[in-house]
Amino acid sequence: MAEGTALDDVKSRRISEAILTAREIYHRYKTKKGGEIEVIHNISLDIRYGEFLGIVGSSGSGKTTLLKILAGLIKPTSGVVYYKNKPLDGPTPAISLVFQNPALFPWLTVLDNVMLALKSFDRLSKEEMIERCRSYLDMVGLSGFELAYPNELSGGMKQRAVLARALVTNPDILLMDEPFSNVDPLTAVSLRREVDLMRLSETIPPSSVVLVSHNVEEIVELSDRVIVLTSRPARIAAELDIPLPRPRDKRSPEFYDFVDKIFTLMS
Amino acid sequence: MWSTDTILVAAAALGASWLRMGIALVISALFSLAVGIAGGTSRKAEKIIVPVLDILQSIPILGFFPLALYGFYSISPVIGAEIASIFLIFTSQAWNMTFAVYESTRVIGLDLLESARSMRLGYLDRLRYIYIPASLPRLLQNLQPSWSNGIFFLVGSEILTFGSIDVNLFGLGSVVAQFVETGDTFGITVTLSMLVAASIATNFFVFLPLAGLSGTRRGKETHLARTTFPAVFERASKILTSGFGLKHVVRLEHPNIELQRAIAGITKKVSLPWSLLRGLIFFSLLAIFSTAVISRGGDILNVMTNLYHAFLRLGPINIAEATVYSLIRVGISLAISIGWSIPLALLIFRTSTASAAVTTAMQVASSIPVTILYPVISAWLPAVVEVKAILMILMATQWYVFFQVLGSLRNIPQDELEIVDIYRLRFVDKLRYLYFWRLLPALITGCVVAAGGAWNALVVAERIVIGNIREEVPTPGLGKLLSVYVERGDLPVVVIILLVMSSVVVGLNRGLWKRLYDLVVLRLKAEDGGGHGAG
Ligand SMILES: Nc1ncnc2c1ncn2[C@@H]1O[C@H](COP(=O)(O)OP(=O)(O)O)[C@@H](O)[C@H]1O
Ligand SMILES: [Mg+2]
Repeated sequence: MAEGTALDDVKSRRISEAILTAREIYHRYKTKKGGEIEVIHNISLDIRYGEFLGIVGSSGSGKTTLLKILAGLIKPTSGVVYYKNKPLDGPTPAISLVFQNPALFPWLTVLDNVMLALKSFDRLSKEEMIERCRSYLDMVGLSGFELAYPNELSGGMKQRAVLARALVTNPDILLMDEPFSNVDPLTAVSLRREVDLMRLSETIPPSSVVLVSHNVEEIVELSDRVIVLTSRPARIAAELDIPLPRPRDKRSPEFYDFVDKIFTLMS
Repeated sequence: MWSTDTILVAAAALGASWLRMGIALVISALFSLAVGIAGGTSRKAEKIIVPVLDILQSIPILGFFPLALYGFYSISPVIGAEIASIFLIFTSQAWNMTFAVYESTRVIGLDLLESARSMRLGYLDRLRYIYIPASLPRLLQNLQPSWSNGIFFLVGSEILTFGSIDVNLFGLGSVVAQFVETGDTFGITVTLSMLVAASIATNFFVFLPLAGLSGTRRGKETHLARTTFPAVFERASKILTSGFGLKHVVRLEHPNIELQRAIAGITKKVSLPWSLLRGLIFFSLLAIFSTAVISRGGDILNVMTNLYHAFLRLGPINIAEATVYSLIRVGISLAISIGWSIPLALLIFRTSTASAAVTTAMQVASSIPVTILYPVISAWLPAVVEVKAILMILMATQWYVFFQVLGSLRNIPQDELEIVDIYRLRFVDKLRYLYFWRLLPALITGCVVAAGGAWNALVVAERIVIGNIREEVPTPGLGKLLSVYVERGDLPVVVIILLVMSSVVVGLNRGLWKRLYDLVVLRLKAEDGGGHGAG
C-alpha cells in the first residue's frame, strides 16, 4: 500500500514537471520586400515528462516555425526555450525532429540516411552504429530495406525511415511536424496506430512526443493534451486535456465532441 | 603628360569600340529572335538549326576570324574590315541568345498556341503577342553574358593580321597598344580607367536592370513588352542606391550555360559516334568550302590536295604534341578554378549578403576585358610566359566555375540544410553527405563552360600579339600554332588546325563531360527521376 503510494507520487510528479519549456517566444521573419512578418506572438508552453502533446493550427499559422524553435534549429526573435531547466542554444540529440517532408538524401542508402543522425556520437564504433540503426529500421518495419535508396521506397516507407532516423539517437523528446500529411490516407492510418503503440512500449524512448498538425481528428486521436493556436501570428487560443481511453474510437460521440470543440476554438 | 587630346582620343576609342559592340549585340538579338523562334516553333526548322548551332558554338571563335576577315575584305576593302569586325563580335555573342530564345519558344504551352489559333492570329500577331514576349525574359538575361563574351574578343577583332592583310581598326585595343608603344602612361591610365568605368556603368545601368526586369516570376513576363526607359532607369538607380545591388543581385549566367542546357536536351537522342561524325563532316565541308572560296574556284580535287599538303606540312606529330600541351594548359586552368571556387563558395554560401557581394564583385571583374588590359598588366605579371598564359586563360574562364558552384550550393533545399544542422554534423561530414552531392552536377557544368572558354582563350593566351608586344609560350600549343599560321596567311594550314581544335572540343564535350554528367545525374536520379525518365 505504502509502496504503491510512493510510486504514484513519483509518477504524478514526473508528469506534472516540464522537460521542455518555452517562455514568451516571439518570432518575426524578414520578407523579400524588406519588411517583416510576425509569425509567433508571445507563446509560452510546457512539455511535460511522458506526455503526448498535440499542437493544432491552420496552415501557415506558424506551427513549423514553433517546432523548429523548440528543436533549437531556429533562434527565436525573442524568448527562451529551456531543456531540463537549461537554456537551449542549438540542436541537441536529446530532441529529435521529424520534418514535414520526408527529407532523405537520395544519394545515400536508407541505412546511411539513418546513420547520419549518429555521426556526432563519438563514443559509438562504426559496428555499434550499424547495429543500432538496423534495430530501429527493424522496429519501424523496414528490415530488408537497409541498402535500398529512398527513391525505391513508397511514401509511407520513407516516413518510417525518417521516424527511425529521429528515434535512433534515443531522444527524450520527439517533435513531429505533420508527419502523416504527405502519405496516402490508408498508410497514415497505420502509421498513426504505430506511433500510438510505440508510446505504450516501455523500452522505446522518447519520454515525450509533440505532434503538430492542422488535422484536428489526428490530434484528438493521439494527444493527451492539446494546444490550439490562432492563425498568423500564432498565439495560444486554448488548451485542453483529452482524457479518452486508448486506442480511441474515432466514431464515438465523445471523440467528436472534442473535434467539434477544437474546431470552434480554431475559428 | 596631361593632354586633352589624349582624353579625347581615349573617349573616341571607347565610343568606337562600344558602338561596334552595341551594333553586334543588336544584330545578335535580332538574329536570335529570328532563328530561335523558327527553331522553337517549327519541327522542320528545329532539325536543321539545332545541330548547326551545336557545331557553331563549339568552334573556337578567334580561329575563324581570318576566314571571315578574308571573306568580307575581298568584298570591299574599305568597309570590309569594319563589317568583318562587327561580324566577329557577333559570332561571340549570338549563340547563347539564340539558344535562350529557342528554348523559351519551345516550351510555350499548347493551350496558349491553340487559343491563338482559335483567335486566328496571323504570324505577325503571334510574334508580337506570344513568341517575342515569351522569349524576352531569357533574352534579356543573356545580354550581359553575351556582352562580356564579346568584349574578351574585342581586341582580336579590331587588330588582326592575316598574311598580307593588316587590319588595325580605331578602337580601344589599337589605342591602348599605341600608348604602350609610345610609353604614354597618362594615355594608358586614362583609357583603361574609362574602360573599367564604362564596363561597370554598362553593367549597372543597362544589363543588370534589363536582366532584373525580366523577373523570375512567370506572371511578370507578359508586361515586359511595355517596359519603358524611365522604368529601366528607375530600376538602375534603385540597384545603385541599395548598396551597389547587394540586395538586388540578379544571377547572370555565362553564355555557354544556355548552350549546354539546350545541347544536353538534344544530344540525349544522339549517340556519341554520330555526333562526332556529324561534326567531322560539317567541319570538312566548311574547310573545303572556305578553301575553295579563297583559292577562287579551282576544282575540288585541287582543294583537297592543298589541304592534304597542309596537313603534311604541319606534321601529325606536331599536331599531336600541340594538342597535348594545350590540353594540359586547359586542365591546369580548370584545376586552379576548381581549387579556389569550391572553398570560397562553401565559405560564403550560407550568408546571403556575402554571396551577393562576392557575386557582384566577380560579375564586374569578369566583364573587364583582360585582353585590352594585357599590355599594361603584362609588366606586373611573372616573367614566365607559360604562367602568363595560364593566367590569361583563368581570367577568361574561372568565374563560371565559381558562379555555378555557388549557385548550386545556394539552391540546396532548406530541409536538407536543417537535417545536417539538427544532427550536428561536422563540416567534413556535411561536405561528404550533402554539399558534395549538391555541387557535383553544377561543378561539371561549370567545367564544361570553363573548358569551352579556355579553348577559345588559348588562341590569345599561348601567343599574344598586341601592337609591338609579341609573346609566346616556349612549348607547343594549338593556339600558338593557329596564331602563327594566321599571321603567315597560310589558309589551308589554318583550316587543318581549326579542324583539329574543333574536333577536340566536340570530342571532350561528348566523350568526357556529358558522360560524367550523366553518371552524376544517374546517382542523383532519385529526385529528378520524373524529369529524367520523361526526357
Ligand atoms: N524562412 C522564412 N522566411 C520568411 N517567411 C517564412 C519563412 N518560413 C515560414 N515563413 C512564413 O511564416 C508563416 C508560417 O510558416 P510555418 O511556420 O511554416 O507555418 P505552418 O507550419 O503552420 O504552415 C508562413 O506565412 C510562411 O510563409
Ligand atoms: Mg508547416
